[in-house]
Parts: sequence; C-alpha cells; structure tokens
Amino acid sequence: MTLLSAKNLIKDFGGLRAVNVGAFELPQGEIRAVIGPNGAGKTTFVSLLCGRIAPTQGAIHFEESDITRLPAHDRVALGIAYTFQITSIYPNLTLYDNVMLPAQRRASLNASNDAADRAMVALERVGLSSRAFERAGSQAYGHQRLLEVAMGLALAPKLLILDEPTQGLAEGEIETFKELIRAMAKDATVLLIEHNMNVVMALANRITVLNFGETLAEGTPEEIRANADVQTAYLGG
Amino acid sequence: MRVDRALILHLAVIALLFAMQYVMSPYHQGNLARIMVLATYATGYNILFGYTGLLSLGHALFFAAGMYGAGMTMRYWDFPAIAAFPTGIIAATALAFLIGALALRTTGVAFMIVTLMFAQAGFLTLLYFNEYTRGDEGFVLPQADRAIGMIDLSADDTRFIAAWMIFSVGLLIALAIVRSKAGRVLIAIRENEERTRMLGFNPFPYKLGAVVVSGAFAGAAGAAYALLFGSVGASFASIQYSIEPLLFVLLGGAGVVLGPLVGSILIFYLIDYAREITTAYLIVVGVALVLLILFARKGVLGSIRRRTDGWLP
Repeated sequence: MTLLSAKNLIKDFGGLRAVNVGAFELPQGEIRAVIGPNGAGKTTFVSLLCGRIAPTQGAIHFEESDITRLPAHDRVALGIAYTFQITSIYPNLTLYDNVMLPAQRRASLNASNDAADRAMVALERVGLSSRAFERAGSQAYGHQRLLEVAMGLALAPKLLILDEPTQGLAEGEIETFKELIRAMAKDATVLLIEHNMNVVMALANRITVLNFGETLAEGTPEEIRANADVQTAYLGG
Repeated sequence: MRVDRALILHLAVIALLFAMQYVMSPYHQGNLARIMVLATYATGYNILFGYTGLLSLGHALFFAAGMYGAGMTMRYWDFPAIAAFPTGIIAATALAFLIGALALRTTGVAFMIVTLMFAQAGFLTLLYFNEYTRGDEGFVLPQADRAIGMIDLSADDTRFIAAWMIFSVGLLIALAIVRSKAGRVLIAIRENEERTRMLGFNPFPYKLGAVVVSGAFAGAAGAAYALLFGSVGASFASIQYSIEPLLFVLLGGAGVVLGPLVGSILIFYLIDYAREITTAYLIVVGVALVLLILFARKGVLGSIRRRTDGWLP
C-alpha cells in the first residue's frame, strides 16, 4: 500500500527550480533513503512533503487524502513527523519537557491520558532516560540529535522524515543511530535524507537519487550502486 | 502525593499580602492596594511576554478599555459597581481578541509596532471624543457609586481587601495557566515556534489566547483601578501605561509567575523614594534598569530561579 505519493511536484525559488519531481511513491513500511549531491533539493523536497513550505505546483497524497494545501501542524496530526537537519530542540527546557510536547500532542490526538508515559518511553528508546531532567542545551551534540529523534518518536508517527540524522556524529554514535532507525522502522515508514553511504546502504530498502531537483534514479541499494548516472552525478564526470 | 511546593509558595505570598494590612500604615496600605492592582495587570502581561515571548507595546489600550468599560457604564447608564466591573473585563477581552487577531499576522518588531499603533489610535480616540470620555482631564467616579451593596470600595480597608482579592485570583489563574498543558505549549512557542509547529501545534490560537488572557487581566486591573481609586482618564491609555507592565515584568523576572508582583513593588517604591529626593526621579528608574541589564538580565526572581533548580514556575 502506498503511504505517501507526490505528483509533478515543483518548487521555484525566484528563477530557480529547486524541486521538480514527476512521480514519487513511498510504500508503507519501507525505509527509503533520499540521496544526492549538495544542493540537489533534498531538504526542499521533504519540506514540501511535511508542509514546512508550500509547493509552486503539484499534488501530495497521504493515505489516499490530498494534503497539498494542508498546513504543517495538521499533517503532523495525520501522522507525518519531521526532524530537522539543523538540531532544533528547546535548549532551555529539560529533555523530559522537550519530549513531553510531542507526547502531549499524540495523547490528545488519541484522546488518552498517557503523555508522561509516552515521553519517558521515547527517551528510553533513544537511551536518554537517565538524563530526563537535565537541560537539553547542556547536552552533547550527539545527545541532542538523539533527543530530536525522540521528539519525532513521541509523536508515534506513521511516517518519520529524518533530515540527515547522523550529520556531525562520531562513528560509534552512527552505529547507535543505525540500530535506532532499524527499530523505529518496525512501527513507522521512514524517509531518510542521508549523506553517509555506509548508513544508506545498511538501512535503505530503496533509494531515491535527486540531482538538480529532479529524480535521477530510484531503486534498491545494489541497483543504485551500479547506476552509471548516479556515479557521474556524484563524481562529477 | 508529592508536595506541591510551588502552590504552597504562592498561597503563602497571598497570605503574606493579606497580613500586611495589619502591620502597615494607612499610607503604605494604600500604596500596596495600588501595587496589587498594577501587579494584576503585569501578571497578565507576563503570560504574553514572559511565557509566550510576544512583546506588546499596546496593553494600555486594554487597561483603559477595562477602566472606561466600567467607568462609562457607571457614569452614563448608572451601572452598579458589581456590574460595571465585569463589563470592563468583557470590553477589554473583546478588544484584545480583535486586535490580537489582527496584530498576530505580524511577528517580532512589527508586532510591537502594530500593537503600539492600535494603542495610540485608542488613546487619540479617547481624546477625540472628549465630550463623552473627559479624556484630557479625566473624570472622577462619585464615592457613593463606588460600592458593592453596603461595602464601600473607596474606604482604606475594604479597598485593600478588594485589590488583594483581585490580585490573588489573578495570580492563581496565572499559575494554573502556566502549569497547564496549554502553558507548556506557550513556553514552547517562546523557545522555538517553528519546532512547535512541526510537533503538530498550530501556534496561532495559542498566541491569540495569550493576547486575550493578558487583555482580560489588563481589563480587570483597569476596571478595578476605576472602582477603587475613582479616577478615569485617557492618560491611562497612553504609552506610559503600556511600558509599565513591561518594566515590572523585566525587573521582577519574565516568565516567573511572581515576577510581576516583585517588579511592581520595587518600581513603585523606587519611584516613591526617588521623588522625595529629586524631581528627576525617572533617572533613578533608568539607572535601576541599566543595573538590571548589566547584572540580573533575568530579573530578580529569574536570577533566583537559576540558583534553585528552576522549580519556581
């Protein structure tokens, strides 16, 4: 079943066509990686999907319903969560308060009363529960990235969009992240923007390659590895 | 169950304020009554500025709406005080809803300017309709009207208790709001609005709610001021009355429920003592603000909170 699809999705910034994706389909349960050279439009593309920016043209469907004009906060209610490329947390609040917000949102959507439990579970899953009442801003960078993911998790989304989650992390931390993403994919479809090929190859079921805002190739990791166009785009042939 | 020490602290402060009437001279008792009314105004302002992070320069308009909502209905339609007070609150709340809905289309500096412009327009409107508002020189509510049943609100002791009741209710409402789920969202909007939106919260209704609540507090304070001290005038809609709650909140501690009370007391007495020494008493206020920015940027209680694990709401 297709969870999310986009058709003829175009975003222009002035004269620049940042995104021009003819067709994009994301089946439920998949881990999909979006890769591409710097400036290929990856972040712009997923920002269109999660509603942070509005498309110039095109249509986006999520679980059969048209969400093209839906504001970002309503898409979150439908089950689309987004974690930022540049760490975006509440540095002055505790880790617990950081995850409490999305947990509270999910609890109110479910009309349940379990926000506090959800918050602690989300922190446990990323291994930060022992630091729950420390200030988020005083945590190490790697822990802040994990917190960002925990905030996404606490929303219990159907689709989790991770924008370069391993950026700036050490090797050991990246291993933790891989395990974490694998575990999350059991409950949610994952759309992953990633530069680290090791992570992409290890996790992705399928890969979409963007170049100059357009889909250059799409396929399994093996197919993408063997694709001549992709090699040219990356190596600048 | 865990001891709710924040609630106990706030109740203790309320009890302490009540007890002050027995130890204070009538002069200071009158001052404290006035401070509590102004602190109610600032407590509401703190929800908007301290907790939601929206800086309005136009709340004098809501203070004046409360004041005129109560004063005009008493003067022209012979409303009894008991009906005039809620009329003032309703007038201010409705106006806050309207102006909030318009001004919140802007953010940051533009929001400050738009709120300031609305307040100035309101101030000038009061002066323009001087025939009815007596805006320029103000009017005095007759002492006989300033009573609820047999209770004379203009007498020293009843006035103190009335001011104390309004402040206490306001303080407890503010405490409940900032500790509620909605209060958590307000703080989140202050800290990182874009992140909050991407966690599924539409910031607009929360921000509008903060404007309306702070407007209602301002209106309650304005109406109380008219009833307790008897004077109604356009000067209360001037920029000075928009800046005042901002100063109280900054000095006492933005984003601390008790901050505005502490700030109001400090600034009120600072001006009071400075006036005895010099006619240029505003210089003293200016120096106090410079010292604040240099040494205690989070205000008095904000600085204390940093040393106490931040449990103070």
